Amino acid sequence: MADFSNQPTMKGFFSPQRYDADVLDCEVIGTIPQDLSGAFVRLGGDWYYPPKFPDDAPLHSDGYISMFRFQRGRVAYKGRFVRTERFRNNLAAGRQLYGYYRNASTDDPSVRDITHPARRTVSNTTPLAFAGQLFSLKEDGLPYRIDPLTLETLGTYDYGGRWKSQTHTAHPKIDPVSGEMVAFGYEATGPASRDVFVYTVDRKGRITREARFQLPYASMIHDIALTQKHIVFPFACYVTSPEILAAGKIHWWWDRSKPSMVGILPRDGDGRDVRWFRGPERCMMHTVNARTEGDRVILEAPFWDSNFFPFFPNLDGSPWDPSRARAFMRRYTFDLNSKDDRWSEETLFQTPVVDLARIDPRWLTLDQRYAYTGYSDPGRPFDEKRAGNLQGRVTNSYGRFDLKSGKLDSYFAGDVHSLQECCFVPRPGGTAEGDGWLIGVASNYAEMRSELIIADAGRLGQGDVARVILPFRAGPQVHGTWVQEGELPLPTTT
Amino acid sequence: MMHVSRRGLMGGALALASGAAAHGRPPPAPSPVVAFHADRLYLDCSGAAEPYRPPAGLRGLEGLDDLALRCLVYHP
Repeated sequence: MADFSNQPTMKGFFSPQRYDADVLDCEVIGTIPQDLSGAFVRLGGDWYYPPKFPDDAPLHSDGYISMFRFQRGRVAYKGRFVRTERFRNNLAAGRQLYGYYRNASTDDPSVRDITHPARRTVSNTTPLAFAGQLFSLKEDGLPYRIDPLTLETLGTYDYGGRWKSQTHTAHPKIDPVSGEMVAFGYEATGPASRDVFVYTVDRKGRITREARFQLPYASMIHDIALTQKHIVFPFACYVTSPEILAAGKIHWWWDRSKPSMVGILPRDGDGRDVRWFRGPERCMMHTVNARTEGDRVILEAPFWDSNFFPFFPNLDGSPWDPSRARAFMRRYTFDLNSKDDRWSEETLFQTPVVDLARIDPRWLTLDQRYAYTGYSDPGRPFDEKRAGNLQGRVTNSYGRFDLKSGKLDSYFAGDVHSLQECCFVPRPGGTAEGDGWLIGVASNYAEMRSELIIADAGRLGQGDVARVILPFRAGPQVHGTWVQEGELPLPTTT
Repeated sequence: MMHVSRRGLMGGALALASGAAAHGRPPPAPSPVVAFHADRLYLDCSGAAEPYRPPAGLRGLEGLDDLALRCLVYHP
């Protein structure tokens, strides 16, 4: 039995939903573009049972995969919990058996297995469509394979036994030129290990290359960037140790005395070829893109000033500082010819942004112009009477950030809305960067429902061309991906 | 059912230990608040964050007063 009555952060719009869902023909305001054909697949987390510890990380909530299926101007919605081993064990017990995020020693004895911690993943971070298959990913375990027709869970996946890391990143990168995917696992040999295994996978899903190296200190590599020649591994300040885990504590702690670090590995190199750079305190979570220009690697990324997560404590005992949990569009330059191990950093926009930035995926690894992400425009209205005291704190806008000119074009979602991560959808037949749509889910705090926004990515200021209205809350998304028609088997809308 | 919060216990102890020693009495524990960050609610144990107030009429936080929040975070 589930009882959320004493969960203070799971109330109102933020209360768990705990259902699988189907809407066969969604309500639409406006007109769905006829050539918008495929599926927007989202993955996020929702607690099916309350956490064992009230201060556990929301990153530890059960994976929930959903799909907006676009076909012939109509949209259908489908949502399913990912039936992980953990989800099934909890359901059988009727309660939460698992303890802190990434600390198996805090689990109920009936499921505790500290030698195989990847089994407790909630698989709640990123949907991946690759080599004709659909997966749900989270960086503390292996991928779960998902049936793209039904969103039923098919089981874990290890590339036919060739994936040797215990974990698999939620942020693999697909090279649009070669069709290859580069993926990795950190804490590859177990929690608090410094081991990183890196894999290249060809377009048919076969592993063709492996490289192994160790981090200078055990930490979290949430995302990487890929160029035509290099793989970029940023990480910073999150630390853990076997002692922390054995004491039954939260996995990650923020240690600002540690350097921020970026490793650069040639795509055709092995683990000995990693070049390490270091810099001042930053919280390095998500990247935008990177490219190699001669002997320089250029990384563009919306890194945070400091610890972004309130639930990962500062190691020095100081309280979490929301004023430093701010991200900006930044550009980093690494000179591979220099003996200096520092980088140069440039802040491209003074507007704080959400770090979930997306690009036209056809420009990954290349010299792209635009990045798209959400941000809070304090000049826009917010109806606090209808939607709570969140003026200035919600993500009310999507921006197209021109990283070449510094121009910002914006889309405003409404005065009771907050936007989740956006996704760029290339227009079929189009070739120019940015020719397509920007889509993403808006939380309507007044109506207690979710609305899928569809806007022309080149005309954000004109507002959305259509909104898909769900009669319920779609749940928090971590990341989403667009699946083109024909890329996977997809259900029909009628 | 209440649970031990290691983070709450550590944070409270570290932040307030010096004040307690100086005055020879146990310092007051900070009152945690439910706050809003990155489109989610979180429990701010420092009590410094602006509390979240849901719109009227929705199932909100009215059943969780300061004492209840303190029990959730600091109850041994």
